[in-house]
Amino acid sequence: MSIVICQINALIKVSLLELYRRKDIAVVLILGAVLLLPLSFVSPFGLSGAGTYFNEIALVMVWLFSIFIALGVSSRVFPYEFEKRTIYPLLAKPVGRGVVIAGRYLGALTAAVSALCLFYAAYVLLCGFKQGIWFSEALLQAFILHIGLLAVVVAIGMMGSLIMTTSANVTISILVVFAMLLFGASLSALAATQNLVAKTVLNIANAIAPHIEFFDMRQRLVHEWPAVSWLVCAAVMGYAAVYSTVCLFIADFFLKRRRF
Amino acid sequence: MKSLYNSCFDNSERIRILQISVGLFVIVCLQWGLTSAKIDLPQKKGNSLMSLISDDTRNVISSSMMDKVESYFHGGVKVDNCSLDDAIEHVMHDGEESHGEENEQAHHEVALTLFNPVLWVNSKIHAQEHHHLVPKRSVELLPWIVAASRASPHNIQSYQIGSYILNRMVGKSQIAIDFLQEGIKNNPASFELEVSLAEIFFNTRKDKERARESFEIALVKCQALGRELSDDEVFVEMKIYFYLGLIAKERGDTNRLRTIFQMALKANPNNTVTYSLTGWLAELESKK
Repeated sequence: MSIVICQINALIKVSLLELYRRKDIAVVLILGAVLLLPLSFVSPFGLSGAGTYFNEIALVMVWLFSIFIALGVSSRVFPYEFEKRTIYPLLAKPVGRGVVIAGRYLGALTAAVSALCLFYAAYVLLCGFKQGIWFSEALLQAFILHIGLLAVVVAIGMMGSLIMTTSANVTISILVVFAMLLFGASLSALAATQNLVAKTVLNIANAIAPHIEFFDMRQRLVHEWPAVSWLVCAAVMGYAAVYSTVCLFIADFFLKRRRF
Repeated sequence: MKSLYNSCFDNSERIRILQISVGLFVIVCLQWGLTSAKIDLPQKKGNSLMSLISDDTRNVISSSMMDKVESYFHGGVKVDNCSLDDAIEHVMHDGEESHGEENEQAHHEVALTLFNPVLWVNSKIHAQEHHHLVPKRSVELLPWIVAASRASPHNIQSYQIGSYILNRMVGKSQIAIDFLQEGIKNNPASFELEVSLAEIFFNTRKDKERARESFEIALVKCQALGRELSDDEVFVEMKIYFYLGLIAKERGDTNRLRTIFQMALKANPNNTVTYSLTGWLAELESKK
């Protein structure tokens, strides 16, 4: 057991080092600063006190950047290994393919979460100075649910990277994630108004597609609604754990079927 | 020259250049054909294709900014049965901030009836009921109002709602007047903006003379439209008659009040404004 933990630990370190070596985070942080800093000085009609718009735009950026980082990290892990042939020495060692999947997944997730911590730190600093609100229960819940979101997105990216090419994987993953974020909550209602065939298709999509909107606490955070029940948070995190596990099992199945 | 051309481009590049040239030629021909054609087009004569496309895009962006204003006013919740105008009036007059718990109740009932876990989680994570922004926080709406008016200077609603918020909710009537004057400059044919400006002079500034001038300008602009007015426009038109009638009554100007009454009678004989004007006219004539 301790050997497996050591192996996974080593794989996580490699993923983390790789993310920071590629300087993706530096690029998005600079981009975010370039977009947000001028916005923070906006005072419409010379009146001060408006901060909700800034809060919302900053959160949108945190969401966009974190999803792009998570998909970028997860979808490139295996194709890069196959291309550089570094997977062979790894598999030649007494490491199971399941352990490789788990290690690479946890590595990509740790890298994405570390980037998320940076984004949230920047967000809290900017909004704290702008609005004077430094911490709330809803903020903590939003952060935890965001980690759940990354767990799902990284699992989807990793699964896709073993089934299709990198560009197809990234495109389809982005489409699925944003489509579900925008329309996931209304799929049931939409299905109810359709004919039998469309209804069946939409109900299947509703059942199997990742419900990204479950993790979206932006509305509560931006408009200062009270925090949700921690039981609901636990249920959503449970959903993230189950969904990610299923994706990783599928990824494991495809990795085992793969001929090198 | 030919040898220079041959040395610079290979066959595939020449074909690409040819394709781009043909494409550009077709676009230029289409543009020329559209602007010179003697047919009734939905757009104004002289407008270029590019300005039409960009204007439409700007209008869409501006409308989405105004949707944002509405959403912010309702605490980030999109509400179908509570328009922004009505909600602002509601808050300003009754001081009531929240309603719509019935929506949340209904949502929960649907989720439980269908035993749909997706609906259940969504109803818990995303706020279902809505509240109204309190007047002291209405400054939060202003960035989107500015963005809407900058995205499309022809979005009259952005100037109307923006000036209302500035005047009634933030209490900055001079900024509201400046904003409306900017709107009037960008939309010289709009009588609705003149009416909004006149209302600020009449109700907030208590400057009846400036208000009367603006209502008179609004009336001229309204009559100059030369087309059938929509229901909303008729509502604004009746406002003009109401205020001009009221000012004429206060000044004891029977002739002007009679003229206004006749115009109101012609525009909408069964409107309450027309009935009010009838009463005022009778009152003034009885005093004589």
